[in-house]
Amino acid sequence: MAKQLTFKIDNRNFSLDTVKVDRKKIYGWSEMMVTNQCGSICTAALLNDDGMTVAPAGSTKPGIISSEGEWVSRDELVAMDADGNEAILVASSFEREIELGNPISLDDFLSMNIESVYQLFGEGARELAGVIGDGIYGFEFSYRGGYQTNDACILACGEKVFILIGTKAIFPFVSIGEQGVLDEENPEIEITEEIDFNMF
Amino acid sequence: MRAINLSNALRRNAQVGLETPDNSKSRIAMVHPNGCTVHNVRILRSTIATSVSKLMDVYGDNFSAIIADTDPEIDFERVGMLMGQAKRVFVDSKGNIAHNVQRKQVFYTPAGNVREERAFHIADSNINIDIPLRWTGKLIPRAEAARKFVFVRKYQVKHVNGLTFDFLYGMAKTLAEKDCMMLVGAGEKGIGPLVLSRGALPYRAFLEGRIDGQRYSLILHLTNLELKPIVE
Repeated sequence: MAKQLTFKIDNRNFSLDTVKVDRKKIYGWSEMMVTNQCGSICTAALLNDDGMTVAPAGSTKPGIISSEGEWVSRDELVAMDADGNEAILVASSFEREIELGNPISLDDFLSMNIESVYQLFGEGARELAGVIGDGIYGFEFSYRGGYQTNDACILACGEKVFILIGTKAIFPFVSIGEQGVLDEENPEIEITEEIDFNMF
Repeated sequence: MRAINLSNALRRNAQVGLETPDNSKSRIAMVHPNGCTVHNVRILRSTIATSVSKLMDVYGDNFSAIIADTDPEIDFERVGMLMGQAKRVFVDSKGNIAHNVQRKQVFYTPAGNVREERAFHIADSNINIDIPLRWTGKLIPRAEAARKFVFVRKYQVKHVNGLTFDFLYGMAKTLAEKDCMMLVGAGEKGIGPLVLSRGALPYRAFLEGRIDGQRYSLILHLTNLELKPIVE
């Protein structure tokens, strides 16, 4: 069942289902099929740097250790912000009402690196699209709750309403004296996942 | 800064810089209350030798009874070890490392049907090669682009000397005055997607310009997703 978000705008509440919009649903997806010389299907695994240990997919787990090498539980740790203050725990956006204030500027919206997109469904989606109109409203979003929130925006495309979640980046104006220096060589990181690209 | 070979409306090109922007969010750090440093590690839980398929081969029909009695599914020598710089390998159904593998890519439709199969190909980076990225002339109003594409990555394009300042300032000014974004394409025809690193995902790219007096901000927006409604 889709999780619901509740938005408050102009003293009206809209509780709507969220459905993730991704490439898979719009364009499809691709998978790499690997076979050995006999034609048998192979699967990916990790070869540790000892050259002996082969770990199949899903056979490793993240953990935290102290500088003394002792296991540390995540519950023992304290979240601190960049100023050294204890960070504030934020509830999941699905557990609280999201109040939409004034629209944000197009510059601010276009400065966001979008990480995920959800379409809103349900009774009231069309009405909310009408209330939002041409505006783009920003809010803080946290999927599960925690110390770090994301930037998010809600906008309407016709009668459809979307929320776009990501992080706002900073693009300062630069003057002639603020020239950059090119790297000697471009980092060539080989990424093996590839996807189809048929959006145009 | 990474280099990018970019051309303008007059098809004059220059090598300029591509900078990853700073994030506006303050970083949250998880620290130990007693002040000791902690770091993330990856721990081994099981190995190929203790996988279900391997154990079934070894023990056959007695598999479940032996697991209950002697715990062969736990490699006591290795489980819990810290993983180092692991490399990706491929293993066959017996858990043996496969060599000279054949890789092909299978493409599926959104409904899950196979659409195409083709040999796996690693695309080379095309942002800083002899053929410059082309200023295609295809303008799209910013407000329209915001509702049409999902811009997943952004970079700031910066000058590297006085000449390239004028070059980029001119581009940013043109775009800011029109309040539009410009489609930028790669390849000989200048319409291909951008591949930033070898083997990386291809993206469609748009340039956006902002002006503040004699200062500019030229932003390269990358997208691989249209903002399209989905069928519920």
